[in-house]
Amino acid sequence: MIDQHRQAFKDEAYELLAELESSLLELEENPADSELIGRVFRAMHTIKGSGAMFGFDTIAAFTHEVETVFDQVRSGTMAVSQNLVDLSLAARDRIKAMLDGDGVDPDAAASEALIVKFKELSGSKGESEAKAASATGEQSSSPR
Amino acid sequence: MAKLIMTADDSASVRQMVSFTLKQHGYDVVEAVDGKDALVKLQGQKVDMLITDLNMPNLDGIGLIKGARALPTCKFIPIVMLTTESQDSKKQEGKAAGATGWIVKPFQPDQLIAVVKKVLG
Repeated sequence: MIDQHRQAFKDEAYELLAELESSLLELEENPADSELIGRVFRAMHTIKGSGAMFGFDTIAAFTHEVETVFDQVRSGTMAVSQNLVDLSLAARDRIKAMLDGDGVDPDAAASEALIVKFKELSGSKGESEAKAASATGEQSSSPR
Repeated sequence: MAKLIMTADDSASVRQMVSFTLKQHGYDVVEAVDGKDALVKLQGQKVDMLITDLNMPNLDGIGLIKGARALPTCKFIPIVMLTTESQDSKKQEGKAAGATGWIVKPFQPDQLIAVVKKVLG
């Protein structure tokens, strides 16, 4: 029974990865399209959530990092950039490799390096916000 | 007569697992692929319980819960959300919309059955 569900997840995940790739390529041309952004987020969210349900913990943990960044995009606190699309396509390839390995990551170092890049992207968004807030403060405190 | 439970989730594998588990324990199941599909089906069929994911296309779980509670046949049925731990704010939003409770993903089949038995008796 468990094998049946695991296989069902794998089949679904491969389909989601195909949809993810096409959504990301469309997003590259239409970076402000909220429906595409939602589609990418939901694909990541489903792979993460369902992956954890059926014992694909490595896939779930990796996808969570990417989902977190796309949640920021979805909430409007981060814009879609070429860098983000490139990293997301690479993440898609990493997830596929893990699926091919039945949940085992064949190159954990590559996945980890990619996660670091996603975190840098998320962190640099945070730094940009901090700089913007600081600039606003300086303007309001300057004498007329 | 077996109780009829609707499971609404855009993940086919989760729907399959939930459906399989419920049927194994003697419940009848109707599946919906998203909130919109669920509402259409709820208008044509009375269910005894609704289990819904939150993040779904077309109409999300919160929208489905609100829509379901507006239907006379769903006003008082137990509605349980499937949610991830990070969605704490969503639990409150779901509760405000009319959800009875939630199950945190990932969950095991026996956890699902324990919740169902608790709310359905």
